[in-house]
Amino acid sequence: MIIETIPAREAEAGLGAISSMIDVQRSALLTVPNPRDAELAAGVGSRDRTSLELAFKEHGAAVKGVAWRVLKDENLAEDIVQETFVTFWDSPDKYDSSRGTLRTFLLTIAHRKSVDVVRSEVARTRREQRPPDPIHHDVEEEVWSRDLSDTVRNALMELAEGEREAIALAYYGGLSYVQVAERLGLPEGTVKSRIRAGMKKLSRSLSGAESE
Amino acid sequence: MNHDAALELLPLFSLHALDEAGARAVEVHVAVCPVCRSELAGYAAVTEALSGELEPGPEVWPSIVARIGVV
Repeated sequence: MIIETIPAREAEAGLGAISSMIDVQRSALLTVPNPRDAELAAGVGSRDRTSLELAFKEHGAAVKGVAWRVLKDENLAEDIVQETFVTFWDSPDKYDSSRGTLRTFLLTIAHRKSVDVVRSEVARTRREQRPPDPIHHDVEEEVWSRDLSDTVRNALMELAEGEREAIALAYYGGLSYVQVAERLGLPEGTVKSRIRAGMKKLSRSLSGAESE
Repeated sequence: MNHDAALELLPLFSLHALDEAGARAVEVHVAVCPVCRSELAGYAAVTEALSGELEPGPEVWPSIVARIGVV
């Protein structure tokens, strides 16, 4: 399944960057609260630049990774990295270490901002009543991407094809479930059910893999 | 939003696949519900696993420093 998001010319630079993807995969352990996260957030709260720099060094690559997966563009992904860390600098109190890791917090910001870029581009092409100049998010290509670990790939391949497709379009494609339903020509309820079922399976299999 | 409705929407919420109003309603519930927070942590692990890592270029950190304006 192919979806269309942002202009191809913007994607060209980013496509070359896949070769430099680091073959590191994070796991369920990352959601366990880390005392160091609270220290870094407190440091940022007291306007300590070194704390922000440490957070950048630890999580910058993951933040860029998530932005790139959605935007497929090197420059846009690096803009998102900037925006994410400036947002953290401006509002460190929004991070609550008792509710998750700093990494999760930063990746959530980065994904949200990336999704906003995709959706504003979709809205712009609609306003201008022109067909988008597309890049392609091929679901199978995303699954087989070299930067996913075998554990994650196997977990994805255990899903029903429709579940995998709906999750990939939402997460990598930056689409809302309503947009996924439009794209696939399916009822919204069906897409909701597929995403729900697929995410539950992934959550179970990845937490199982972690505890083995 | 009640607990069961929020619980059902957590997988979509974690993918940013809800509209703004839906996401806000889930957020309000999650803030006061430890069960949903724990469930959401599981989905966060999934979304983290679905993303790879890509090292930012050397100009990114200086750009951030310029934006935050701290020496």
